[in-house]
Amino acid sequence: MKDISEYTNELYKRIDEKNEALGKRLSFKPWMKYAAVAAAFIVVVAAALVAINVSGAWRNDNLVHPNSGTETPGVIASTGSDGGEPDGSSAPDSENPGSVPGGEGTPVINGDSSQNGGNSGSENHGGQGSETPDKPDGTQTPSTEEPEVVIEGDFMKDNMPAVTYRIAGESRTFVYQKSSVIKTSESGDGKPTYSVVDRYADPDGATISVNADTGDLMRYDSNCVLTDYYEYLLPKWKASEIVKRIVSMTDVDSIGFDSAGVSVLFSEDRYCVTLTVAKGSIEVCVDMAGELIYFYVKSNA
Amino acid sequence: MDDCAARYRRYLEGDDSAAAEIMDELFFGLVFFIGRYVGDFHSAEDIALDVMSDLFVYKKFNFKVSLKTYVYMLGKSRALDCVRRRGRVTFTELSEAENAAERAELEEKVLADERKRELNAALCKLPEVMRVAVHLVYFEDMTYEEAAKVMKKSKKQVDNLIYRAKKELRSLLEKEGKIL
Repeated sequence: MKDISEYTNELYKRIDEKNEALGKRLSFKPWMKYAAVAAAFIVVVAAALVAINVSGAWRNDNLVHPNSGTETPGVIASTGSDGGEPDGSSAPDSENPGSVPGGEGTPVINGDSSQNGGNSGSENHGGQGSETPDKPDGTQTPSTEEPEVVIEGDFMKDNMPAVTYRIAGESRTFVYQKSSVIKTSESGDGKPTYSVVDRYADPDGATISVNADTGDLMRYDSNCVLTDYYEYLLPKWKASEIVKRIVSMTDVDSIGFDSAGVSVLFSEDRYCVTLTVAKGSIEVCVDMAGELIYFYVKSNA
Repeated sequence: MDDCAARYRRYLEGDDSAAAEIMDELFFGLVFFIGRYVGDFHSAEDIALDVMSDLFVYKKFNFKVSLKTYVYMLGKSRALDCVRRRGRVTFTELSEAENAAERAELEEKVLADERKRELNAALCKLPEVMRVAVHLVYFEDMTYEEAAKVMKKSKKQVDNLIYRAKKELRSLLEKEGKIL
């Protein structure tokens, strides 16, 4: 391996070569004056056309659509973070997860509880999603590749939410299993951050984990070996939305969030998410439209 | 302004020796970083020289990010171009042994710390995107924001990548009896 001074000499050589090539490219050839005149003419004509268009001389006002100007915004379905209890009592203080609110909603039977770590399995076989970087010098490399992961359907199967992905041309249906919360702390500003990972399984025993924050999708085979890793933004699923809301409403550090587990229970008309922490649990049930049915905080203290 | 950017300004003002100082500061690290994408030392060396010469010829650096971040962004872009041109075919170098020796020498130059070399060996078992994130943050001492700029990702994504990579590395190193 060469010394840095040799590389520097090589650098100077390349700089000279490139400057020379650049100089040649910029040197004015006789035929270029004709090209310059032609280009100037085209620019002037194009500018004139744009000016005419902007001034409205060619605009046909009769072409305005009759319905324009009467736009009504659509209603956005909300999962209702601050809704009160069905019996009229007030919603719990989100800053005080330990206090028990007046809600007397039916207790939720926990589904299978899952601890942190939706990403189990080794992650050392990941293939990469396609990447088309912009160049920092301003030029851009256009992407011509199809996304490798496409959602084909989002529906229920055997009363469980399921999703069909087309991964690298192959269509597979995955049934929802569970959600986990992973703590992604140690960021530059020192603040802990949390991500929700949804896990799905297919009939062959393969699983996929979808990070609801980043959209990253990891696919594992039946031996829990990571087979694919895609960086692709996927829509957030509702359970993740609810867990994120619980996390955002709660002072997570004060309740020992490290040990949090998430379980999700589905029935025909509702789904309920339970977040279990060291000091208690928080349950949220919403109907299929995403409207809050009840919110329940249970303290172990 | 970072030191490299100050030197670059000196170069723009006509001080050619500043180019040598920037080379001294950034070159080997850049070769090592590009090597992560392209695999072989000689291609990485060639691309790095190209990046540095473009920096001094075209003078497009606008001082909005650190010079190091900018140079690594260019390096990554060129490295991916190179990989794409090759059509993702892995070439077997005729002088593989020589290539490996040069790579090891470069590794020693860039990673003076023994622990970092152990980490580097384990990094090869991670997916490329995690490998690059760890490289930029732990080997190049970039902030998450700078690494995110080089990788064209959000800070949060880099944060997640580092978290997962660390988890994976910990288990890999523990298996080998080396604790992080």
